[in-house]
Amino acid sequence: MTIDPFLIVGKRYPRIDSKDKVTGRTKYLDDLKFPGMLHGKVLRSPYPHARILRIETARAERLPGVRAVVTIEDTPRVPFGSYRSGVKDELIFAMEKVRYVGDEVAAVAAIDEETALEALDLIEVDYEPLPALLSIDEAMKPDAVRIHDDAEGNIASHTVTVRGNPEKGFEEADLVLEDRFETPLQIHGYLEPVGCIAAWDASGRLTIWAPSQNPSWSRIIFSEALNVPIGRLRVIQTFIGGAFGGKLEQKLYLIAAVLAQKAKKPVKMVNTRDEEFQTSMPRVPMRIDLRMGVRKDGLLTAKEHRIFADNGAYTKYASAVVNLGTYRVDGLYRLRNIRNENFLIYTNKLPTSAFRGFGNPQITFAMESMLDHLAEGIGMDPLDLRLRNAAEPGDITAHGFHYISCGLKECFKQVSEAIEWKRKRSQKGSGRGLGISATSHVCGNRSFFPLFDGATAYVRIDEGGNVKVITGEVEVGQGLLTAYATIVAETLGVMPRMVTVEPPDTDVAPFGLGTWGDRGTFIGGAAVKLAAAEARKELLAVASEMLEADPSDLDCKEGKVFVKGSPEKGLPFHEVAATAVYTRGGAPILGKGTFIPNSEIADSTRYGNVSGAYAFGAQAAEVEVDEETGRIRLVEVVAAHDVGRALNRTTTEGQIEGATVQGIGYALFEEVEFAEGVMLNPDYLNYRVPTALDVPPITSLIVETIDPAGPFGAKGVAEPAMTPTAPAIANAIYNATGVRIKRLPITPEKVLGSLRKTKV
Amino acid sequence: MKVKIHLDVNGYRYEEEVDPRLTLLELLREDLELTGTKEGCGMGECGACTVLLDGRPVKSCILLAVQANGRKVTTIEGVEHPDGTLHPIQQAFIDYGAIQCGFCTPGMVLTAKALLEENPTPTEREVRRAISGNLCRCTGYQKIVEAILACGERKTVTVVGEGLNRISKKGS
Repeated sequence: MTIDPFLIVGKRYPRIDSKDKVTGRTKYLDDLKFPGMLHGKVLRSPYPHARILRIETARAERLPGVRAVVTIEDTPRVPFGSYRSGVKDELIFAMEKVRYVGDEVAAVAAIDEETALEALDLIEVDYEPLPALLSIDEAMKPDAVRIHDDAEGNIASHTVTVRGNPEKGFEEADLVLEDRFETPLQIHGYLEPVGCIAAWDASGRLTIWAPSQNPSWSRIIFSEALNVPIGRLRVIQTFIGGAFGGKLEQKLYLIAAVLAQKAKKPVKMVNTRDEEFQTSMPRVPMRIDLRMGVRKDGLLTAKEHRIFADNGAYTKYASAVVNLGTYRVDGLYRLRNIRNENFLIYTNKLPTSAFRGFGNPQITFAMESMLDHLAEGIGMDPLDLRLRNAAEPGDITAHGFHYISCGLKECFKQVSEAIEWKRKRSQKGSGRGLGISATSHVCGNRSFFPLFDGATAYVRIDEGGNVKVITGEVEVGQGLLTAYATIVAETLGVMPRMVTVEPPDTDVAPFGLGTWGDRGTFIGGAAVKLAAAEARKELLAVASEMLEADPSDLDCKEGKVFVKGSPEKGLPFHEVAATAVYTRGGAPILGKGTFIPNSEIADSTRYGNVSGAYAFGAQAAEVEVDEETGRIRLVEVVAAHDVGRALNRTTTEGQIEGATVQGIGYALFEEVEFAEGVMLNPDYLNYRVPTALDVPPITSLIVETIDPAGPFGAKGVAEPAMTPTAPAIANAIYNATGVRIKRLPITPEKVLGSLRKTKV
Repeated sequence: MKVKIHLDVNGYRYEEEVDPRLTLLELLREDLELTGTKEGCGMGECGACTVLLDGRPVKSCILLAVQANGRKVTTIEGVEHPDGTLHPIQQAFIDYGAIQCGFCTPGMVLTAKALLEENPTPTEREVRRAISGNLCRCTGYQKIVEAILACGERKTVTVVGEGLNRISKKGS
């Protein structure tokens, strides 16, 4: 038996923010109000594609209670784009043209929301409708109009990546399969709508309060779009009611800033749920043509994909999603001969962007679906085929990722045992089936943000013994603040509830890259651990004078600082903290930690070790399909994830369970539908987010590989836990029925349709 | 035209002059500044705005304030005991990790409270049915269901120390 060396790490301490949340005390953006605050509303395009002939705002301006009406004329008209994309195809408001239903045309700030809405009706806009390109195929037709003048063929980006020798790889294969897979437009569906408050002070300094996933980074883009120096701009993050990639830079913040500047008053804007659906930045839909080769002995010899991805009308993070997100899967299994071609296509629909998994759920659905057919074709168990090719520690993948810790095979072992793979797969004919799938993911991505990789944190202890973590990283609901409190509590020997961590204010916090790419725990946590170690050193130095002992002989645990071996003669933590402040001119104990992972920017061919660690996982699903109705009953999902080390078991399980349920939604329910460019189901009633009745028990299994670079060995889990779910379910349905659905979501209609076809 | 209404919110009596079109949610959040009740969709579909009206869960975004005239409203601010002790359901939500972003939590706690008052020992199916009008996009519901079930079985959750591994699940 090994002795657990930790008092806090790996346990089930309550989240540090849970008491405020469960009593309704946590303040989200919409709970804030300021004296004199105005309410802003946006006038949006009713056309998917049209020329703006005239905008007349005079009547709206005259409406009593209206304080500002703004259009493109009130903005600096500097094109901007998401930081990574390299494409700058957006302005704060539409200029000359609108490009999707929902495109921002004008905005109003008024004394209340009702007046603002009334004023929107008084703005006259004359449009000349243009041909609307509502699908990738329409947009790629040779005679199609251009959505953006400089985008020939409506191509926003096109990349080709080749590794090894794909032709030779396919020649060496005993079986080559080729197929087309399609994935839907999935909405984040976080419960808290996007909102913000913008206010300028008399000296021309702008403050934005917003549930931002990347406050420091977004400041760069806001500064560009508003033509305001970064230092004149302050972003204060408010508690976030769910984000999942959807609360990166939002245009709403810029519109609020423009309104607030003109009205000289703070302006609050909050999306309606309808706006959330119609104008948020949902998952990139993809059409994936995939070709793979396998030898009789199960070795995968080559893989080729061609992706056509729907960018929507403007380039947010879809170019990164398609180019940095869809090639990670090539390291999941030991592929050497690869050809990937990605097209990102403009259409007259809402812009698509980052969503948990970031391209991985799309391509993994395709590849993991095909693996089952390759296995079947060579007469191999799908699990054995995966194990034959699965990544291992020490691998350098075809794209240059260095896998240090890698528990993929252990994840396969644990899920297959838990779901009784061998026994149940051999029992056929009950309408039941089992499917399996896996994922690999980054923990941070050096290529995503070109300026730097890493994180910095401060740990400050005041004279009352209050331990504060100052970070620029972002709690979106996943439990990051609790992870940081855990790391600090373990290092300083105090209880997690003694540690406070709050959402960042860019005037105070170090530059934090924010929550994306599964980086918060691994990178941010490592910085917090270094800062805590510095604070501990300072604490022990102060205590060594008080106890007349050498600092190296001291320890701190359970709220005391003591000479090793004599905890009973220890000093209370808060007494040492107070002495530190009172004997050093008021200086609190202040530890600073900076962690820079061992990662590199990928080269022009996207080769490079872009992350300091990689996360892995495998999931298995059992389904029961009613062949009369096509109805799918999900019996169970088992999810095993290599998280490095679980800093808190409860919150780690919570990430796995929540992500898996988003994966279930992706697999079975969720798809935005359009007619003539207008969204048909922009509400929770018609767009099915899973309810408590839709989901089966989820068994989460935590695999700990103790990554050498992670804080106490921890890596990320939030993103990868969503990726394998849909293909595991698709494979289980195939196992149960012999029907392969290649277009998500897998609805009873599709299953029934395919069943009828196979029976004819 | 304003309408005079009187109602009891969390044990306090209020007399308000309201626009007849004002929703109960707007009355609570804007006029009474009880911001614990959340607006997620404004169309009665997500359940974030759930409050109790005479003990029954209702969606306050699609109820008019005038419909609460003469009735008793409980919001999340009224769930804990006046001395600050958490209600057993609140404590169970904390202990079982049933909270992530927290935006659905107030509505979820109130729905659970109403369920347990009507049916103190619900089955898992009954719990899932009761909360099926409250969407949660973060947790996958599992820990919420566990918290409510534990509360039902035990009535009160015993708090042991700081919570060190005090949750043992069946079969582990």
